[in-house]
Amino acid sequence: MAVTDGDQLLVERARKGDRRAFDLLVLKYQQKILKLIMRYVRDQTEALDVSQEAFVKAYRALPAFRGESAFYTWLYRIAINTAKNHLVAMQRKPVEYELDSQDPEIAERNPHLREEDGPEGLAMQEELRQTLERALAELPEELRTAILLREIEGLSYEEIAVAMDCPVGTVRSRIFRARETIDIAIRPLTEN
Amino acid sequence: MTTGSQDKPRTDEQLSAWLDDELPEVEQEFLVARLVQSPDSAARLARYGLIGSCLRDPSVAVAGKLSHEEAALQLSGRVRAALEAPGSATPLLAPARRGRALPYAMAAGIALVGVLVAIVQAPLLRSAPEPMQASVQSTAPATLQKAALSTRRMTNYLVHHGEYSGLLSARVTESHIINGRPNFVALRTADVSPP
Repeated sequence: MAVTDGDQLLVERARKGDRRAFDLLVLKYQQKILKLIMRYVRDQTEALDVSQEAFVKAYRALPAFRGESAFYTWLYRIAINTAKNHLVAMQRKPVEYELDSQDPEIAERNPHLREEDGPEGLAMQEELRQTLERALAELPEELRTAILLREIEGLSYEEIAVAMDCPVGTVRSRIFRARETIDIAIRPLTEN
Repeated sequence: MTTGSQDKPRTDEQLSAWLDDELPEVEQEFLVARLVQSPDSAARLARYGLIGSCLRDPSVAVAGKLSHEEAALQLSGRVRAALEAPGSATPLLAPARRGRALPYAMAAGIALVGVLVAIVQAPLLRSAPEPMQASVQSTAPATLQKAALSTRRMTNYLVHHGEYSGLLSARVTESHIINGRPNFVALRTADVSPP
């Protein structure tokens, strides 16, 4: 199955100013970028700010993207640079945190001053985790195997097809059906 | 039923494959056209991403980090708001063009410097010392050229400094090159000409 960079069409649209197209790229990569940035910036609120900045920078720099690398590779570099620049900027004013530790906005941005998630949040996370596990356990064997080989082992559809001895199209369908089933289970929780 | 609702599972399956970078090129255009018109697809895409993150790292929920995954769901909304803010507008063309042109401009600059150096150096290179065997043979012409060069240098020096340099400069100023003041030149010439 010949697959080129699946993002190129959206990149082309976004370059012409189609923000909806860029929005889809953000949705596709927001989890990865946030996780990446959290390796540099440990505070979640701060990491969200930096991630947002990285995406905005990427949007504004789209004309410079020539497609020589995959879009994600390019975005990844922007995110790393944004995180590093952010760290440099923050190191210039470390005293500010201590002086203004009573300021809720600054306290929120400081990983050392941020409060842990409250009991309500933890309960919701636990509920989501249990729902996921249950949904996964209830999946038919072939769907569970397909989604786990993809998400946990990181295998390509072709590799999964070989492992499961079925056509690539079947793999694609199984992964989709697995996601749909899990999605239906967790949707009430995520919508809240 | 409408065609749109019949196509929906197909679109969602394509969305799932696209998220994995496994969608064939021929289907991408169709999907993208659908995606940009469907607000539902955005939420679905985000949830598929969330499912993947949770499956890859179940500990995120246990360790109380699942909120990161949930936070990521807000990110697209924040980016959208930032881009819609006045002034952020469209992708910036100018820096990109500048960025693209920079290597060419640098190359052109280097080439230009190279050409200028070649033009300036050409006469000198012609008279530049040859390797050891040739140096003896070329001594006479090189000496003549060197002498000519020294004369020229001296003339230039006097032209530039002659007006203030006493006896020697008087001969130079006779040529009227310097100030075009015949009276002054005549006076100076009368004063300093040798008998």
